[in-house]
Amino acid sequence: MVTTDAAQPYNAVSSAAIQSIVAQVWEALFESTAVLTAPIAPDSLGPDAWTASVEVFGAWEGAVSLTCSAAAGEEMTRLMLGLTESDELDPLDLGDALGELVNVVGGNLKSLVDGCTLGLPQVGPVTPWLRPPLAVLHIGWGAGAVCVAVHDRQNHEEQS
Amino acid sequence: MKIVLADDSRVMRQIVIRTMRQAGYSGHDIIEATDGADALQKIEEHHPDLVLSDWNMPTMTGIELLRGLRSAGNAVPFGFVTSEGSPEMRSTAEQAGALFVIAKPFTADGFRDILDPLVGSLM
Repeated sequence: MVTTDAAQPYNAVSSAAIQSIVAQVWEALFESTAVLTAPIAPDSLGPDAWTASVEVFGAWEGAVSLTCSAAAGEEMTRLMLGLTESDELDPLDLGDALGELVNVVGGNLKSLVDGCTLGLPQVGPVTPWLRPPLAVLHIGWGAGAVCVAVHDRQNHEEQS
Repeated sequence: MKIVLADDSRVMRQIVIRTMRQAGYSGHDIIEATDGADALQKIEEHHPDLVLSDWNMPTMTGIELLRGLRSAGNAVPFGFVTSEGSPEMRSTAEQAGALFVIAKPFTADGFRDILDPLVGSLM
């Protein structure tokens, strides 16, 4: 298992929890297994890489982010929309799909801690992590990876 | 059956529609709404048999939509399709008048399990 736990201020917010959630999401949306791979720095996923994130407020203040290459993002969007490789992909759908993907992961993680609310997903260019996240999964996708990370509030503010 | 489907994500609306089709619910008139306010307008216009709504949406959330409907005397059958499936949220949904909560990520079987017992009373 290639994950890191920089800190666990809340027992519910753990690598095991995020891994379980991601496994369910990958199975439901992509009909595939989320296979963990070697760590990859998000800002090494190429100039057109994307980051989608959603904030959690309340008893636990943090965020969940998903970072992927442009190619991986397009593939995931096609799978979510049931499109073939030859179907035209609306660029707006890519941001929508990645936002929804992080929303589903974040919403499930938020449900593990009572007294939290979920923000609306944000999607944009990759920003490097200034501090290690609480937990991170590196999931193999094609020749690259998708990084799903859990950040505490201070981390997220420093990144925005 | 006429259904209003509210979610600010077009991609998720398409996934819901596709999953419903896989669950055997094809051929229904599905009216898409982009948020709670849009859904409210379309509910008033189209008088659906069922409303499926996300929880967290801009402009008007799903729970605000539901509470608005019920306070106006609109008893349209209402269910949430949301990533926020905590016990706390489910209790809030039930108290506000929702019939069910389908948690994302969902499957066709999950939709069938929830909707099959209700279909007779919805149409």
